[in-house]
Amino acid sequence: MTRLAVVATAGLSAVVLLAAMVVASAAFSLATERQVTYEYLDAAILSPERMQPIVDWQPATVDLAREVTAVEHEVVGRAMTEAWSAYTAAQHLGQTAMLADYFSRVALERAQQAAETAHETGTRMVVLAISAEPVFYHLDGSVLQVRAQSLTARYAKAEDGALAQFRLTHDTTLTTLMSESSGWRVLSHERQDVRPVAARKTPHIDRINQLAGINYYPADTPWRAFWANFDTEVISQDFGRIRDLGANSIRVFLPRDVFLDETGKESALVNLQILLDLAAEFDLSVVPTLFDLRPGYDLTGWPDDLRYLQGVLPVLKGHRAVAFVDLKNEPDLDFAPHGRARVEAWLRSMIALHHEMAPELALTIGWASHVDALTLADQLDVLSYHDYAKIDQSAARLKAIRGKADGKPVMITEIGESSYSALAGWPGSRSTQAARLKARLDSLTLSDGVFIWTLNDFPDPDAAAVGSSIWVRNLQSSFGLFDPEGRPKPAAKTVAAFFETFLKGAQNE
Amino acid sequence: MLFHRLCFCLGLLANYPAHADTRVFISDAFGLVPHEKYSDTREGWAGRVEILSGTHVRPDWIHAARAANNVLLFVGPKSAKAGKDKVHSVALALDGKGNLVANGLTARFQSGASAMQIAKTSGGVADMLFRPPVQARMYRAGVTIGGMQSPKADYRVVPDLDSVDLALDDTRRALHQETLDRLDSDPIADRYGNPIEAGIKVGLLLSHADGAVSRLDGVTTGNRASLPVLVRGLASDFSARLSLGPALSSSVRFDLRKVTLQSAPPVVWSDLPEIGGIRVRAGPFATNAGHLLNDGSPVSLSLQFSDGSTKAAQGWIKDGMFEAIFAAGPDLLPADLRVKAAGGVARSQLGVSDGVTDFPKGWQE
Repeated sequence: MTRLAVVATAGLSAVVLLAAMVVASAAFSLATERQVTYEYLDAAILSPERMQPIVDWQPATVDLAREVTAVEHEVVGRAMTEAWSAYTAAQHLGQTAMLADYFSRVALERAQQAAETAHETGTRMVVLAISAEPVFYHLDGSVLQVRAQSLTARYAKAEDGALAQFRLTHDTTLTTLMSESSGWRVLSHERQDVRPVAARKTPHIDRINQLAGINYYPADTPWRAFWANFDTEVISQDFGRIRDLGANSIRVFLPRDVFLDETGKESALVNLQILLDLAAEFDLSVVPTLFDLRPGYDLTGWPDDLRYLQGVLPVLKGHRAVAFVDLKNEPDLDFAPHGRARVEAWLRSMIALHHEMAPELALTIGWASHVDALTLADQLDVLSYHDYAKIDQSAARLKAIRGKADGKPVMITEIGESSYSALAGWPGSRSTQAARLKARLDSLTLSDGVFIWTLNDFPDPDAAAVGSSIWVRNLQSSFGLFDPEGRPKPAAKTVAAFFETFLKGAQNE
Repeated sequence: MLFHRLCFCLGLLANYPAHADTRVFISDAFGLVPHEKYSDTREGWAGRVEILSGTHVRPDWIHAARAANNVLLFVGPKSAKAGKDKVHSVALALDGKGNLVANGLTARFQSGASAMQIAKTSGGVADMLFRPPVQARMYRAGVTIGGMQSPKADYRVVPDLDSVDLALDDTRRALHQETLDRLDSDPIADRYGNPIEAGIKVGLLLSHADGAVSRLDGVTTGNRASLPVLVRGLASDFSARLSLGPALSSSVRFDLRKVTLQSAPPVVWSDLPEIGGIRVRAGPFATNAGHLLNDGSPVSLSLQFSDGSTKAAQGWIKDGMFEAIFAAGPDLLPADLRVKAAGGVARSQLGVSDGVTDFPKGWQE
């Protein structure tokens, strides 16, 4: 009986516990859903203080009844910016009531109908920049007509999530705005002409040599801390080590937020120039990786991405140290969470803008996997991917990609092994790091470039980049060829030996 | 319409290798739409349209606006100065689908004051700048484009304040002290004879003999300005000018007429045995202007009694009278009496009897 009572009590307890877990799970799901919903709205609609005007005013070339003042430029420019940002969000959300704040009459009817259709059919339109010229202004300041060149991206998502259509154009538009009681609103908007963003015809790969490279962050200031704590002494010391390894190039990362920050971007651009100059002094070519740590691909942020390119490309395209540009680090990892169509449309937009702004600068995308190494290959000058997959298939993967590369250089811009040992040499050690690196490097001798991840161990890797898992942080802290004290690990010798052979082989070719 | 579109899309596809999975999209000013979702309504949106299929593009397709169906008229500024500056009459012409109409359509403007004027549309807009009429009143403007009339739009022509003829009424150049008076302007009108409207701010600048300047503000009523002046607060003669906007009247000098008493007021006293005093009452104080000296006008009254002692009282006129109580018994009478008011003084003797005391020498300035 006693045993039966114990069993019954235990069974009842288990049921109660299970019920409590179900209730807690439901509550957690509800809370999570609410949080996701709020984050979704927050991500979709930019607050005015976060919104940078996208309108660049040109002087009027016709006589106006009333001059458009600088203040009016700002006010109307902001109204147009907010209108198109709201329109972008409305397509995404399928909620169009808010458009009444920015559009009126005919334009409001059209914007609401088009946004609903876009939401329903998976198409999107984003206005990235507007170069506007006032062509008519009422003497009493109530009606303004603007002829503009609008840089506009449009894309459509297929039912399977792929990109079904993409178009990036300079639209010539005529927009009529009215000053109403609550501010300026778009009364009419028509596209009068359209011109595609010019495609670059020939790739620029002449200047690209065989590269033996290192992915670089200083040991104590990796990822987001790098540009905020830019230290030329530390960088020079590290560049000396890289040179001593026999490397001829580095791959660095230009975080999006750092080079968009209104208060810090000027100093970041100056530091970028200094970094390139230092690299040139050490005979190192540089592969700058753009848009690092970009949070998502929200459509309202695309105009900021254009501003980012307008900031960094002028520095990069004029510098002899730049080998080529890596547009985005591992965007294929974003296909699942953000949707392949949106990510690919964003990549195509940025590729086209890069080609238009810096046609002489060769371009690649650092895919996380060889699986996507040929994605957008027709628009890239260098094909690159990261090789962390099984070592015994590395050579076969490279051969497969090279076979379809249409003569373009193929580079593996990240390979690496962690020396982190949790217990008695597991999962790794300094010796296994060296051995595995050697094996992988030996299988990539036919590549046009190999970049090691990374020069230094990181005592405190950035959680924004590697996450907060202790296991992952420990692994990520030990990929360096040099330990936190700056002493070379066995892998450094392995890499140096490979680079010597690798580059000598290239010379012999 | 739908048939036309389908033919067009099929034509596009026929030009290129067929792909079973290649969808056709239409690109317009508001985005991208699968052709099967391209509604008749949207097809009516004017402007450049691209038809996209895979990498193939037909960019040479323009939906043109149709004839004007709705004409909006915006006239402003809403208050225009008579015969001055400009009025802007702006027509926004839309077709039946809400598109801005084509360039080059004739717009016939009527300003409500002059002959019809003609302009051409550009970007759906036609406009006319004109000088407002010289007569101040409401006007009603209109426009016709392609046979469609706009709703009428009102605008107002107001007097040109820059050109008003401003003058103070100088027919009465004397103000009496101890009064609340008004200074009036002549009727105010602009150069076209449009009378000033009520409620326009005017200023009155007073220049005093000691060089000080004071300003009074008011608004026009009717077609003139009339500002109250508290003459009691003025020490001497002054000159005045009116200001209205940029206009300033010429200066007019005003004399300050002091008030004098027509005659010395009768004085009576009465005994107040309960307090051992007497009440002295003077008045009425009649002025030479034919009215009682106004309330609040200062008065002093002093007595020098038979034993040589003196007592004095100061106060103000009320209802034309002045009254004071002295702590002195009737046994100290007679007393020499001195009354001072309105800048004058009178002397007499307050007798032993409580009858009316007269001032034999009258009132002395």
